Amino acid sequence: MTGAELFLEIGKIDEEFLLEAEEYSRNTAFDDFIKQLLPLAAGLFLALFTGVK
Amino acid sequence: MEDEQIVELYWEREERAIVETSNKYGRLCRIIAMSILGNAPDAEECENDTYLALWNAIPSTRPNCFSAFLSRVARNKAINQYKRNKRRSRECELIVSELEECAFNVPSVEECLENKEVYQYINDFLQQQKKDTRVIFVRRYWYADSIACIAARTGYTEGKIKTVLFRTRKRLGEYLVEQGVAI
Repeated sequence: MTGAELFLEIGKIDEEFLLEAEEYSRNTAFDDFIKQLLPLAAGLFLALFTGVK
Repeated sequence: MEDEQIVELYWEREERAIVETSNKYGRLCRIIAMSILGNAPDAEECENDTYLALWNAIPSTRPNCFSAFLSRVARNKAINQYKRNKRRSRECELIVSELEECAFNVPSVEECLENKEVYQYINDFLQQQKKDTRVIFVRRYWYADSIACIAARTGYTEGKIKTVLFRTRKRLGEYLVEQGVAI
């Protein structure tokens, strides 16, 4: 297969990937990062709270 | 205007459908065409061809996602124009040459794969990637964005983008071979 053929095949991928790539921006990246941190922050808060008690 | 309303205009054969499409998605369409073709007159022609293709296609189709449908049509139109052009966009030439290195072990589409199209393997591969990686890959190899443009969009450095793309291409090449696409 050539690079050009692969480029054409990539053109047929599912539209969900296109939408994701279209909507993605620095803000999305930051939001995702915060979302990943949330459970950690919640756990830390809980640990501190129960520890203090 | 909502996408469903625009699609409805196409179904009703209202010429306003094209105006509304152009207002909402003209820029997206031009960006896709420009990335692949690298010159404004061709990109403009491609945009007009896209509207005509939508006008002809939609009454028999009702796209699930209008923007993705339009993007796909624009990309196909741009690639057709790209094939006809003698002077080609440097960025697109570069993109194709980058893909060369992970495609060379993979047989041509006609030769391959038991009942499964190559793009379905690419779908599966992308599904397994982290979101950032997937977005960077799709921006580069679907939208034909420049490295600088992807860096600006994602907030990563150009060096990081190049590294991610290099590693992803390598993994994709290996994945396609692993999936029974014999060397």
